[in-house]
Amino acid sequence: MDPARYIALYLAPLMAAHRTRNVRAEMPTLDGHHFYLEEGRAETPQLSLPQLFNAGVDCGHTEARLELKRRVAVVDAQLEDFRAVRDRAQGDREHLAAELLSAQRTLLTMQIHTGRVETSYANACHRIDELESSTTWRVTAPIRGAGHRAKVLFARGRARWAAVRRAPQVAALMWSIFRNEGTAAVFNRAWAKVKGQGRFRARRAAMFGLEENIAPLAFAAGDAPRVSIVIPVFGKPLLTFTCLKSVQAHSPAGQFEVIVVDDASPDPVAESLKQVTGVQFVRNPANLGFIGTCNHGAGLARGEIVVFLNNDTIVTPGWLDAMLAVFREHPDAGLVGAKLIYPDGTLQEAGGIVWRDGSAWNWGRHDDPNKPVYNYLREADYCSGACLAVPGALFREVGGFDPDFAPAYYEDVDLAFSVRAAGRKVYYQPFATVVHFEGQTSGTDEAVGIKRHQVVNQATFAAKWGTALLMHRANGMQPELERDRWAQMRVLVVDACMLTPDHDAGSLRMQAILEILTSLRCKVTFVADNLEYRQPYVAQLQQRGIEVLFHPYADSIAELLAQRGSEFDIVLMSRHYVAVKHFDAVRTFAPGALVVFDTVDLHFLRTERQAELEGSALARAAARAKREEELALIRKADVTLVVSPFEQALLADLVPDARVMVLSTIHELLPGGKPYAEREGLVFIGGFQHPPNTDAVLWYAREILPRVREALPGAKTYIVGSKVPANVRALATEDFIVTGYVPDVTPYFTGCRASIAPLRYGAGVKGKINLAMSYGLPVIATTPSIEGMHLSPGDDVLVGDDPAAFAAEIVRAYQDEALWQKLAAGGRDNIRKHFSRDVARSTITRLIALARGNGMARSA
Amino acid sequence: MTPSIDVIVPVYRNLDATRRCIESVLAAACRTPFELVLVNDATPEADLARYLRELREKGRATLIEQASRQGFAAAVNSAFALHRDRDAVVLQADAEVANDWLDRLVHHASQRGVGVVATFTDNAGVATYPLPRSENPLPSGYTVATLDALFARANAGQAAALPAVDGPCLYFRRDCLNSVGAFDSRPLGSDYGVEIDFCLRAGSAGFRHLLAGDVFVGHGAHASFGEEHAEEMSGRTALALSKLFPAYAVQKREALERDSGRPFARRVDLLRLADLPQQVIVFVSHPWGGGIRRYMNDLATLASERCEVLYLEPATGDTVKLYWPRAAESFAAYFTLPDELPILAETLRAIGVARLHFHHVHLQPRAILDLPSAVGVPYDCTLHDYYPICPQYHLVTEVGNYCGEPDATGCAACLTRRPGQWGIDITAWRGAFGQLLRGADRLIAPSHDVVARMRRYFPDIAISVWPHPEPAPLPPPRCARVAVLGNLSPEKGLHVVAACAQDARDRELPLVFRLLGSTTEPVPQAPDAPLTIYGQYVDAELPRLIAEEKPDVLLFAAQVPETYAYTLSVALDSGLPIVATSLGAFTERLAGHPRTATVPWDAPPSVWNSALLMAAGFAERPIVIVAAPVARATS
Repeated sequence: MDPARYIALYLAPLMAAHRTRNVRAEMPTLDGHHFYLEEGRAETPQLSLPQLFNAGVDCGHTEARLELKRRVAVVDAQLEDFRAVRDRAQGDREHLAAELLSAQRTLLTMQIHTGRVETSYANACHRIDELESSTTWRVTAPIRGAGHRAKVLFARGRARWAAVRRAPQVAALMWSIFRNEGTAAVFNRAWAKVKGQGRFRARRAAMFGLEENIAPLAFAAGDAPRVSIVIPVFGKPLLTFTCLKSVQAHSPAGQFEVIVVDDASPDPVAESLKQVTGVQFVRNPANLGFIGTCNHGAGLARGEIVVFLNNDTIVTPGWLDAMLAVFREHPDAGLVGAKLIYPDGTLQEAGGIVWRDGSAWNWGRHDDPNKPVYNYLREADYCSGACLAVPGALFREVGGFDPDFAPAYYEDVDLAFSVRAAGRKVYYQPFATVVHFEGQTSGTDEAVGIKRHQVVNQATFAAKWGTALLMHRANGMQPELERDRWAQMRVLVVDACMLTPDHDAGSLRMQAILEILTSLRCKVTFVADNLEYRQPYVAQLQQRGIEVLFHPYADSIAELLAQRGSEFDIVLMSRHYVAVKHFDAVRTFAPGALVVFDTVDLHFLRTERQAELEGSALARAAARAKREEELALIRKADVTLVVSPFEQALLADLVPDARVMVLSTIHELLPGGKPYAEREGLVFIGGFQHPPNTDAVLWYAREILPRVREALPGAKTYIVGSKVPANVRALATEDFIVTGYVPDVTPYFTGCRASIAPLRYGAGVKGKINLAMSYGLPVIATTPSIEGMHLSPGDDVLVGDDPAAFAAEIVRAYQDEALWQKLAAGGRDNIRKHFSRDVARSTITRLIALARGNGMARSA
Repeated sequence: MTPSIDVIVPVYRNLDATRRCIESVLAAACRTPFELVLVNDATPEADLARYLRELREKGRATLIEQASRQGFAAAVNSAFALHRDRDAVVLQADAEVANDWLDRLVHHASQRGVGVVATFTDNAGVATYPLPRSENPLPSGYTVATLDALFARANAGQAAALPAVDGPCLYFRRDCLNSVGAFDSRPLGSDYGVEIDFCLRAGSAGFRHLLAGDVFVGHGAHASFGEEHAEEMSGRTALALSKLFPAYAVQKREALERDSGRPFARRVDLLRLADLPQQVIVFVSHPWGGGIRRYMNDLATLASERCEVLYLEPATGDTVKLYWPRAAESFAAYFTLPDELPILAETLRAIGVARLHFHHVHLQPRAILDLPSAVGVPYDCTLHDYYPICPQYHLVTEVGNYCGEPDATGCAACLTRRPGQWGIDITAWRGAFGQLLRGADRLIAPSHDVVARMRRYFPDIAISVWPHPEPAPLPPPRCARVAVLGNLSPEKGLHVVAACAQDARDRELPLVFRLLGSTTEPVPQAPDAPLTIYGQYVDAELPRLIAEEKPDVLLFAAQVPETYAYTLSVALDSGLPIVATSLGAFTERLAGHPRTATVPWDAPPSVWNSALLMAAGFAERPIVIVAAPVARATS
């Protein structure tokens, strides 16, 4: 019908009626619910993707097709989101696990501490009860109160007077700081003084005291002593006796002689200590002062090394060995000092710092001597003369203690500078602890008595060494940097755990890296991500001159970075899960540092291969996430270290802009051991916390071992490595020996006939292969395990990728002596060419050069 | 009496809007005493600055003049600082208030713990009307004042709590300002969203924010403070806010879903419906598309000048949805039948609905049949199918064949096999519908056949036959069908074909393209472009495919010199006209063939399309074919 006609017909009845607008209409009250559809009931239910596909593609509905298009995009985006969430969750999980570990550790420490506090509290309560119930205590109460108040008043007065007298000196110091560093520095320093910041509170009671009386004491005489201990004395026989007694108790008998030089004191020491035998007592013809006395004693020394020891000291176990060890390990050592502590256990000195004006600091005075900063072997500006070891020849060469500083003070500082001028170094050895009753002989106030010489001698000293001092900072400025004046670069190394080089190849490699860094005059600070303190490994590193931080002295890596980050020129983070946690903090707090990411092995490569073996989609997705995370780190890092050229090439494709260097595992050639004929058995080495190793051993035991048994009846296979899982342990038989952790693996390499590496996946250079080869032990391996190791099958290794081939190669190596010899020689050659310390050193040298370039770019 | 409220208007540009705003504030009939505080943010418009100064001189307003432009947040902050013991209303300079707006705002603000109060507006902010979050024109026939009066009446004293509010008119309580501070644009990077930031900070401090249901403030476009890059700004602000208040994104989404201001807006809709000058009809129908929907929409459009149509459709279960189908409106209300039939009827009566019109009842609850008597208005029924006779309204069997309309026994058996709507037997069904039809004012059928069939069951009813309203038919369009053979890559002319289709669409040429084959990349297709794709074929099928498709012309648009082209052989065999590139083997192979044309490979789509139209016999004029520039290689 015609629309106009239709609508006219349609509306006719309506048009007849009249509509009344009703602006005041009374509406029924409609609740809110009338305006919402019931929850969860959409008007148009959402169709599933298959329904949409059905309607759109199969049935040709355009709307459905458009909706399908839209929904596919939405679903895709959601999937991306889910992936991102999952990846983040995975990262969080690892992070939380690490935090949990650290929290558990803290909890344990706290529980122990709480236990101790409770015990002390109970003891204290008990003592108080006892005291208060005693009659004397009650009777003397008023006197004690008055006496105490008087003492307090007197002490305050004295302190004020001392401050007033010192004012001109303090002003000069402040003026110097102000000129060099500005007002803020002056304020900071003053504030630090006021707060008495960082003062270690020692126990009330002294830990060390004098012997009660002089008693018979016999030293074993040695005919050719290595060491001559020279002890200058002036009176105080009990003090000297106490010192001698500790020397006798804590020094290796027969290796040393003791020369006690009496500086013409009124009561001759030979007389007062006549109960002491085996000691050479010498008496100066006249009072020569400390310097003359020491030089006199040194002139009589027969030992190669002379140790000057004050008579107001107590030595502690191992002190002498520790000092001698420095001369043994460091041929350049010219002077070695000990860690000096006060009788109450607080630190007196951990090596000394000399400032530009010639004033000298005892580094760490009154602090906790157990802090990591005081406990690594390092070069110091000087060490206090209270305990000093010096080769006799060198001492004579530099003319002994300089008599210009007579009678005393600055002679030790001067000696240290002379030794350095002679081309030798001054070391502080934290492992030699000596208790020093400082001031027992001459009082500590500079203006009083002999201490007056300190002020005079400082000027003499500053004039003598003015040129050398130019490079030093002004008094009190950044002692934390000055203490390691020797360092050309400061390197922070963060690894996952404390290095345990006798457990795993990774630690071995890292330890070698640290050693090479140190040898290139880098000061290395090492910290394990879990802040672990584990002996003897910490001490081993500290003895190599590496500062090792750990709990409770470091609370977290982040805090460490916040406090000390700016100190470092290079920050090296090992393993991606460590680097990923700290990377941002490193950039924030160490903005100038060259950030080095040490992959150890590319984790994503390993996880991807594992995923392929497992064939699970989840594992594959996890591997993909890991890959992204790791590649992102590589993009952000200034330098990435990988262990093989294979990985370097791979990264060159994936992250072409990244700077990637090869720093392989590092091996020394080791003595080979038994000849071919006397060897028997096969060895596998590897820790089982590394999943590829578990897989390898299971594969070997199930698939390869039966074939080996057939061909070589009686041949034993030794599975060496820590953290053996139950399913591996369960496979042990007479000819399949699971040893677990073995402290010394050498016998296996010198006694077995071949080493096996049946790894089916994994990435990076295999330490086990290189270890075997460094002993000259032939290796039978799989293709993945020799990836990037510069090996060629048949020449320096045998390769079998399926059980039959692997077993056949074992048999070949086992039975063919000519082949065996060829493989042994080839393996050693490969180590020399690609995995020696020299190769690593050249890489690290390049790294340092980069860091230096980085620093220059920064200052430009 | 000393005012306890400052009404702050920061001004930057636009004298007309500003004047309208300020005059609306000064003219409004509020009992609450207030001080008008204007902030001139260093406007570049001299007459605007003069106007503001005049107001100060007349004592109508306090004026703060910024020496240089500081932006919205800073301008407002300087006004906040003026009287440190007063509440403040921030009114944007293009806003318009009416009636006793401030009194109503004060009422909401006086409740415990309130920080900020916002209002309804037509444009921008947390609550817009009639469409939410849109730029609405004022509903026709209304001014800000009359619409505000409707809000005041519909929702007197009502408000809803929201996590954060913004908009052209915001009331700030002084205790909130004291504990939260002022606007802070630093963390956001711009002034955009400072109100939201303020609200969220206040929320953290324990204040809640309200949307007043009974105040409507008019608002022009985003002109007042020169926010040209609103979209970019809002993206940046959202990002900044999500960093500052991680929970806000979720709160905001929940608030959007809850849409707690909605009942206020819908109650105003109801008052507007009652106030309409024209008659109102309600169409009852099923919720689907098809012929019924077309008829309803056509009818509503034809009637739109003289009357207003509301739709009543099933929503879900027993719930029906009454809504206003105009695009500019968002009125919708839900009623669950039969319980809420009375209130539905009462609502329709209050609106003043004159007539109901039944189109269909599929999916409707059974009580819908009682609606006419409940409302008490006449109603029409259009018989679009055979629903009154049978719940299987198309008179078909399970497999989709005509059932032949068996006797009552047959129908009963059918309903037993597949029960119909409402689960009642055929007798009850026809009884119910007989009653509905007999009560109708008019029964309309589009054809006589419907009438004849209905008569068999309801012999006593009178049905008018009104064929559906349709305009006189146009002559059928003619269209040339262009087939392209083979799998199409850019080398084979994919882009040329796509461009030709686009050109044909843009210029409405009678050309449609059919690709017998596939493409190497997606191209726009029907309905976006006159191009459809058959998909891949087997070579041997091609002659038959061409016969099936009956193209008027074949197109070869290769962009590379073809060495032979087998598909061209098939094309030549078909005897159809051919248009091809004058490149490669095409030229020699087409030479001497009638009804072929070649086109330079780089010709524009218009030239290709002219060639195609001419070859298909749609254009008389011979096409001027530009010769391919031969010297191209050397130039």
